[in-house]
Order: sequence, then C-alpha cells, then structure tokens
Amino acid sequence: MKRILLLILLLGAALPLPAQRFSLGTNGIDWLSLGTLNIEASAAVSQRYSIHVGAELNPWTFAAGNPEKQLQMRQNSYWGGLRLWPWHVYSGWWMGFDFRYTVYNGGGILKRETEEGDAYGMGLWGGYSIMLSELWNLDLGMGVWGGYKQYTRYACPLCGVITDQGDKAFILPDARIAIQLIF
Amino acid sequence: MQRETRILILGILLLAAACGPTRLQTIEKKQLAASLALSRGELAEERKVIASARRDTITVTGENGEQLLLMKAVKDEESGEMVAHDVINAAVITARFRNVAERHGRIDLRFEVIVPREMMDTRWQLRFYPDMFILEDSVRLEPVIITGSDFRKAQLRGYELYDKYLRSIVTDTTAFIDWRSLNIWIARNMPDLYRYKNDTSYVDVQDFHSFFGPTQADAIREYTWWHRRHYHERRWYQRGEKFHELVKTPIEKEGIRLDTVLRDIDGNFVYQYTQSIKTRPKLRKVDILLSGEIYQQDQRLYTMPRSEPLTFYISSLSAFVDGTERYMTRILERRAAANTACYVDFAEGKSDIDLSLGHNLEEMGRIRQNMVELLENRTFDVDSILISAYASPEGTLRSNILLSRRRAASVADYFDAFVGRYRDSVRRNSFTVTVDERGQERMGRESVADIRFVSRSNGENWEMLSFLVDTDSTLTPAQKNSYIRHLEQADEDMREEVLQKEPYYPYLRQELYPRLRTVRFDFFLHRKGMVKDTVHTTELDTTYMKGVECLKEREYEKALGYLKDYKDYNTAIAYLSLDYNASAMAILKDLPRTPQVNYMLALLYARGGDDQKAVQHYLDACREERSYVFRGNLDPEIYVLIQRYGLNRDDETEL
Repeated sequence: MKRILLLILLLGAALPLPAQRFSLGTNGIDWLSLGTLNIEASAAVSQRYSIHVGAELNPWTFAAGNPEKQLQMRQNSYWGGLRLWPWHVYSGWWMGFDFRYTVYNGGGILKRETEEGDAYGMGLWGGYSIMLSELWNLDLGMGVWGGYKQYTRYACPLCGVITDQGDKAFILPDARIAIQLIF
Repeated sequence: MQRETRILILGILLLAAACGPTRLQTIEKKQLAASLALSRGELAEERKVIASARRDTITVTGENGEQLLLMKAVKDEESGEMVAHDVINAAVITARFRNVAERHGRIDLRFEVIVPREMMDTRWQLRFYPDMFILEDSVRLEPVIITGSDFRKAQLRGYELYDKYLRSIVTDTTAFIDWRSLNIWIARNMPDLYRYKNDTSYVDVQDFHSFFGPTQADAIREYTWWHRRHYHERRWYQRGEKFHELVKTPIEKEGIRLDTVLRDIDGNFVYQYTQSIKTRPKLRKVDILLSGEIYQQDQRLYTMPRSEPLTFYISSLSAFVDGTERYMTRILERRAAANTACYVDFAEGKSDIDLSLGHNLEEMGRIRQNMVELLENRTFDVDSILISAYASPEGTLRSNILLSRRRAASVADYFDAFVGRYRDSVRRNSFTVTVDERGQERMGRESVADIRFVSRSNGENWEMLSFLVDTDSTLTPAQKNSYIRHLEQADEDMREEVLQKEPYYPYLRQELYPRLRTVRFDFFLHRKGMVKDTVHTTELDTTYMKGVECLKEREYEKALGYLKDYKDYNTAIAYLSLDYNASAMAILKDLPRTPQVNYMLALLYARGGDDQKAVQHYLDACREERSYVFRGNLDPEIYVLIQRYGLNRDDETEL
C-alpha cells in the first residue's frame, strides 16, 4: 500500500503542474452600490494579456410602493474586454478597455427624478493588482466609460410622469476594488 | 538689584575677554614659530664625557721629545688668557651646527623640535614639517603633529557621524527584493520550481521557465524595489564625499613621526627627532629647516615662518683613501692546452662520417666553431690537434680498437680538410695585426700555421660506461652491484660476454653504449710570438682598485668584500668606517707611522677611550701634516679631544 502511495506521489511529482491562468472576481464597490450582484471572469492569454467578461445584476427595489421613499438602482450589465499587464498577468500594473451594455432603471436616491434606458459604450481602465496570496488578488482600478444611451426620465420612481426622453451621449467615472480568486 | 549687578559684572567680563588679544593674534603679532635645536641628550653625553675626563692633566711627548702637560682650559673673559678649568659649563648651548660622523655608511641626525607654550591650544592642531637639504636635493621628513584634545574630539565626532552614515547603508542587495510577491508569483507561475523550494535536491533554476516564458531572474528583477536599492547604492558611492564632509581632517596614521594629543600644556613641548640617512659621495653637510602650520579643523589659521637652519657637518673617512694604483705580477706560460669532446654517431661497424646520423650535424658544427675560434685567436696559435676515438664494448676488443682508430682518422681527415679550406680563405682575404711579447704590434699577413692532426684509438670506453652506470637512475642498486662484480673480469671481451646474459644488458646496449662512442679533441697551443717558455708581466690589480672605488663611493661593506684579503691601509679605512675597530687596529699598528696612519690610530684610541695615546697620535699627525689640525674638528672623536684638552689653540694663531 505504501509503495503504491509512493508511486502515486512520484507520478504526481513527475507531472508538470499547471500555472494559474484564470481568475474569478467580484467588485466590492458594486456591492456597496445598493447590493449590485456582480461577477467577472478572466483568462490569461499570454504573459501580458488577459481577456475579461463580466456581468452585473441589481434586481432590488427599496421601499417599493412608497411614493415618497422608493428608491432603486436596478440594472443588468454585460461587458467584455482586454487588459494589458506591463509585467505579467495578475500582478502589478495594468490597463485595459471593455465594451459594455447596460439596461438600467434608477432613481430616488439623491433626488426623486428617475431615469431608465439602455446604454452601450466603451470603458477605459487602469489599475494595480496586489497579490495577497497564492490564491487571492486585490484588484484596484479606476476608469471612465462613455457611449450612447436611449433614456426616459421620470419625475419620481413611481409616478410615471415623463420629463424627458431621447438619445444622448454620456460619460461616467467608475472605480473598482475587487477581490479575485486566481486559479 | 543684586541680580542686575551680577549681570553687569558678567557683561564687563565678557567684554574684556572679547577685547583682549586672542591667542592667535598674539602668535601672529609675535610671529611665533617652533624652533630646532641640537639634541640635548647628545650634548649631555658630551658633557658626561668631559666630566669623566676631569682628571686634571695628561702628558704627551712633544715635537722635540719634550714632555707636555695638557689640561682642560677655558679662555678667561677678563684677561683673555687660557686658564685651567674643570667646572662643567651649564650655560644653554645655542650651537646651530654639529659634526656627525658616518657609521656603516649611515648618518644619524638628532635634533629637537621645540614648540613654545603660547602656540598650543586644545582646539588646534599643530603640524610641523622638517625639511632636509642634502647637496641639491631637499627631502621633506616625516611631520610631527600635535593635536589638541578638543580638536581630536571634533575629529572623532566626525568619524562617529561617518560611521553612522555607513551603518545606515544597506549593501545586501537581497534586502531590496519583495520576497512575498516573488514567492507568490513563483507559486502561481512556476509551480514546479515552487515545489522544490523545500526540497533538498539540487535544482538548476536556469532550467525553469514560467508558463508564459519569464524566468525566475526576470521575476527577481521585477520584484526588486529599485528606487530603494538605487538610493542605498547612491549613498554607498557618495561615501567618499561624505567622509570629507563629516571628517574634515582625518587622523593620519602613516608617514608621520608623532601625533600626540595634548590636554593641558604648561611649558614648551619638546620632541626628540632622529633621522637616519644613507651617505652619498660628496656629502659634506646636511641642513634641517622647520616649517609649520596651525589648523582648526580643516581651516589653516596660521603659517609659521621657517626656522633657522640646523647644520650637520658630515665627516667621512673616505677622504683618507689612498688611491694609488696597485699592480700585480702575472706569469704567462707559452704553452697551453684545451680540450673538448664530441659525440659522433657512427653506423655500427662503420667509420665514415655520416652527417645525417643522430646529432652529427650539430656536433660537428660545434667543433668547427671551436676550431675557428682557436684559429682566429690573437693570443694563441694551434700547434696540433690530437683526436682520439673511443668504441663501445660490443664486439671484440681487437676489432673495436681497429674500428675506433679508423673513426679517429676519418674525423681527423674531415677537420684537416676543413682547416685547409679555412686557411685558404684567410690567406686571400685578411691582413692582420699581431701583438708580440713585448707589447709591440706587428703587421703582416695572417699566417695560419700548419696544424698537425694526430689520430689515435683509445679502445673500449669502460671508464665512461662505469661512470654512466653509477650515475644512472633507471638501473637498480642490485643491477649496479652486478655490473661492478662483472668488472672484475679482466678480459674485456669475456666481460662483455657475461654482461650480455644480464637482463639489463638491452638497456646498456641501447641507452648507454651510443654515448660511449665519443671523439675527444685535444688542442695544443702556444702563445703567439713567444719564444721563452714563461714570462712575468705586471697588470693593474682591478679587484683592489674596485675596492678603492667603493671606498670613495662610501660603499664600505662592498669595499671590504674586495679589500679584505689585502690587509693594508685602505682595508683599515674600510674597517674603521664600519666600526670594526679591532680589525682596523690589527692592520694599522704594524704600518709605518705616516700622518694618515697616526690620525687613524688617534681615532681608534679615542674610540677605545685611551685619551693619552689618542692625543699623542693626533698631535704626531698634526705635526707632519697641518691639515689634520682642521680635520680634527670634523671627526667627533677627535673633536671631543680637542675640546677636552684645548688642543690646537696655539696652532691656529701660528698658521
């Protein structure tokens, strides 16, 4: 039995171990944004490049039905992009871009005015990835994303009074403090 | 009110301190300088000598055999007369010169550096530079440094700061590596290598690449904190500048005679300086001057004026050298002989010379060269050349003798023909000068006299074989003994026969026998133009003259090497100069009493402490040779005598 175990160990030792080339992460800032569920997966394609895809979902409506208090930041977003790592994937500085699509309905947070619509555009990102351990990274990043949106603006989240409607270009800042599993 | 008074008094005191001349101002005003003086220790020694000689008088024999009484005398200040005096004079001696004698080709200069009290301050460092002037050269001697305690404290503080600076520099480059990140990266991207991390088996890191290519070295470069590393490297490279910045005046450890730290100074500071120099020809005097500076940290406060020179007059005995040329007699023989051996290889049983065999070409060339040298020799003529050949023992003795005779004859023929050709070429081309026995030159056609070649056989070369066997390193002692036993066999053919049965015979035959087939050349010569068998000539004794030359150059040891065997006056001078007094005395006491010899004896007796004999010989020397009156002042031994007994005083006025 011992011998078999040893054999297995030796065989195991002889097989090359795969390097860690994938990540799965989630962005804490999104969670703080009224509990937006989010996930991003990536794969390293070379020493310096990785491709990323991700999705966000916020299905929550707070104080639903209360015309004075209801607030929401509901959305579905999907993106896919590319990152460049000057040294090596999942370590140190990086920059990247992605293409993004989002369906949203949000308002009642700072003011009663509520907007819903679809937006699509491109984001430009830069950041730094800290290796916490063999398995975990802390991924910090800042960026802007802009594009075009079709929107409808309401006076309040519930009332249905349309104040504005149309197509419009937009640009927004964004940030990420994500925890990633590297495997 | 009381407090105000106190402040007032303090203020006045401070003002007074500020107004009064500072130490530096005083020094500058007075142009203070350290001074040089003759070593007091040495003077004391001289005084002691004088003191010990206080027995009142000594008696010497005068010019006409009369007895003279000599006593220590001084000039009476009032009357100007010489009066006997035995009180040691304790006045300060301010002599600026001294006579020093060389010993063993060296001169010891002793003097004092006297630093006045006013020049010393605990915040200052005084640096004194003695300069020595010899002939046209000037040499800066090792400086004397006097450091004040506060000055030294500041110096040490500088060193401390510098040390702190050095300690703050991280020189270990691995300290700048972000090991945590590096390890994570290796674990993620080079898992195979990472697994070996805790394994003792040897792994060549070079073999490992990460999944995407970069090696461990790349990763180390990446995870190094370069800005930090550069910062420390910069500090390391700037440490020289930092040293100058922090340690303004480094503490000197080499090339200085003295560095002393002074706390409180009362009285002058005196340093005894001794410098030993090697003598050189024509060295008569050495001047020493002193200059100096005052420093407060790296700032020079004051440069002191150069001191008066201190002069040392060097006396050497090389002036007494007798440079007369010395000849030696040499006997010339008419006849002379020379010989050489050569190894000519012959084919077995053959007697003709085959130049392509073995080293024949070189060997014969060498002999031809020898022959040409002898033929062209201006001093000798070749009468005849005896060529004798040896044979190796294989084969019968009879045939060997015949063979070696034939071989000798063939060599003789070869060289006879060569000399014949040579003679022809000389006759055609040259016209030469020869020197006869009376040293007169004779011109004439070069005549290469007929040379007789005589050839003979020397038989089997057993003598050489025995020698070769004895010195051979391949044969064992047992084999050598066996060979010696066989030698007892008187018949040479029988001897060879039994040797053939020995296991070592093939070795003898192959290695040693060829070396037995030698041809020996004996050249019989006579001195050109000489009829008588022997002639006596005189030649300059070059060894002796080399010794004299060395004496003049003051290379006494070398001179003694040449002169030792001559045991004459010059040898005695060499001994005297090296302080080998007994050897000098052994030679001098038997020499005729010339003034030089008398003077040397005076020196020797003075060194030995026998004043009476010393003075006697000195006066004898002076009587015949007046220059010794002055010479006496140059040799310390005699100078002491002159001072002690007031010698020469009358002579000076007479001359």
